[in-house]
Amino acid sequence: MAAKNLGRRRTRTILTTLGVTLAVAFTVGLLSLSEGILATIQVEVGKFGADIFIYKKGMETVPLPGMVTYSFPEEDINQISSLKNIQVIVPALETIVLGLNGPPLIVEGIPPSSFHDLRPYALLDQGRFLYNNDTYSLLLGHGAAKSGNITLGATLNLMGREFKVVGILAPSGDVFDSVGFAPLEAVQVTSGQEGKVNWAIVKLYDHSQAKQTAALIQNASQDLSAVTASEAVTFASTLIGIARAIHLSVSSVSLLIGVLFVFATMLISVSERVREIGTLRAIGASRRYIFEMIVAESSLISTVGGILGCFGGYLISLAMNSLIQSALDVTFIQTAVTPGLVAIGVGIAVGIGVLSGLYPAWRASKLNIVEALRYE
Amino acid sequence: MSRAAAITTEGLTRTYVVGGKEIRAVDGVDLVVEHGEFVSIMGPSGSGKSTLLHLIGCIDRQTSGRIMIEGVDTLKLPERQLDELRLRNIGFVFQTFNLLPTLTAFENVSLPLELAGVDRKESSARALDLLSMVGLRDRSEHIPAKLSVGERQRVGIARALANDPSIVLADEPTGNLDSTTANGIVQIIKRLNEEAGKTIVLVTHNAEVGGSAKRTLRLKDGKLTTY
Repeated sequence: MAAKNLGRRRTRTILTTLGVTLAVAFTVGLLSLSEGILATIQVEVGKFGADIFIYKKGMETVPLPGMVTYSFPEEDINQISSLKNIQVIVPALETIVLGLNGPPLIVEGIPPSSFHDLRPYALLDQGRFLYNNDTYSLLLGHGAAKSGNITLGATLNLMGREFKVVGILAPSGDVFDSVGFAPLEAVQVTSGQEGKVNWAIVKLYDHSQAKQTAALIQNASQDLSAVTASEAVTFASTLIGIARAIHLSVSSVSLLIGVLFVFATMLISVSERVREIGTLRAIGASRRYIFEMIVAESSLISTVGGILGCFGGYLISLAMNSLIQSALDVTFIQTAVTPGLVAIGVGIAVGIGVLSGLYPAWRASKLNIVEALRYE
Repeated sequence: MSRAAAITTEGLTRTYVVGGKEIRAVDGVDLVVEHGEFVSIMGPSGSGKSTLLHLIGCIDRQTSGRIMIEGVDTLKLPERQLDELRLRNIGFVFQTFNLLPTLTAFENVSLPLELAGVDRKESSARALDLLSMVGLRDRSEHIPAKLSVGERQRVGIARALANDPSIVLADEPTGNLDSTTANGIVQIIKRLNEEAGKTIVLVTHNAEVGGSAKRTLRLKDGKLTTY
């Protein structure tokens, strides 16, 4: 009966459904960005093959380029390198170079011999990897070279020093595709942070002992913070959770409009059907039946709107993908409409339906039968 | 012990306050309608006929007095039980038919059965039987807008009988019909009384329709003048 009642005012029902569809599509589209970034972080953290990330104490962050800003003395790393179970430590100093032709370039300063520990699956497209005796050499990710229109053998002025591009990596599609790598010492000198690093990755012999080894590192140095790979993902999830909350609060405006849309429609619908409701009550329908009938109608509109909204959100997320790719020239940030997000979208829609139907349903159920039957 | 009357009212009164003035729409009505009776209530417009019918049908509440439906004092019943009473013991026939416009004739007749929780198979068979009884089996899939006014009222009667109530209350059932169609409806109502033994209370201002009942009561200014 709910479907038939809604079918009676087809244009109004379609418009109301469209209102919910847009509200949910906007929400799902926005949330797909944080979902996508979370998925990216999980993949990227996995790609390190690292068991532990080291930061300056209190400055723990997501182990991705551009996220680390605080530095600590390199010798702190030396203090812990002899600890049990540690296979290798790769310290890195990150700097962001502006003023190039393309977008800002993130340069990771690392010991040249450690490149494969940091990027185990990296392949060369042109030139060579970094050598131990390199000084002001630069190995560029494919995306960084492309967006900056930089060719092999070119010389780049990074913070007053000439760096020669000795190699360009094959496209990797990940976050490191758009960064450059240079010898640690060269980056320390040019950025004026001699003897400093700002993060490090640690690989272990026994991966299952990551937690215990992180505790050992923590004990050995008061100034460092050791974060296991799984903790890093959890940390990222927390950050993304905050982003999601912000996205939700932004989209709550559109959700509120959705609620008002359905609310107004149901209120009008009830006022048009006063006599029918009176008839139903006269032939024995309980107040509860009337209440549930109206809530079922508003829920039906919203649920259909929610399902369509998830499709709409998917389209928005695809549009955002191409926007991000064309604006930032990166492929690693992929928005993601996950099953969880679809569940959130439909759940929100059902919530809109129930919430906006409550008052009209209450009003309908409270109608005086005799007055309702006389209603013109 | 003898069976309680179908309908008993004692000192039944319903007052309204309009513009600070009390209006006694029904004023101390004492009435007994036995099982299987066909009673018409006649009176001029505004005499309180419909209000009396609404009170008997438990869709309105009296200001004072008592109504007993098959011996049960309705004043003592909670709302849910009044809903049940209307659903199972009383059938309503309205002047303006009051069919749900989105539902077919069949669905309109099935509605009280659905409300009563009758299973779909049984309710389908019952609804079709009732539509056959009022001669509308072949019109069962039509929505009210596609039916003539006479057909709509016949659907209304079929709906009133869905849960096989012992009492049928008809409020000006021929008020919107031409005399030929009205006569057809009156014949159906008479058959319900004579063949199915239903207790009928019919409100009308039409003397011919009122005259078809076995007993006619007259109401004036909320008071029964003929009993």
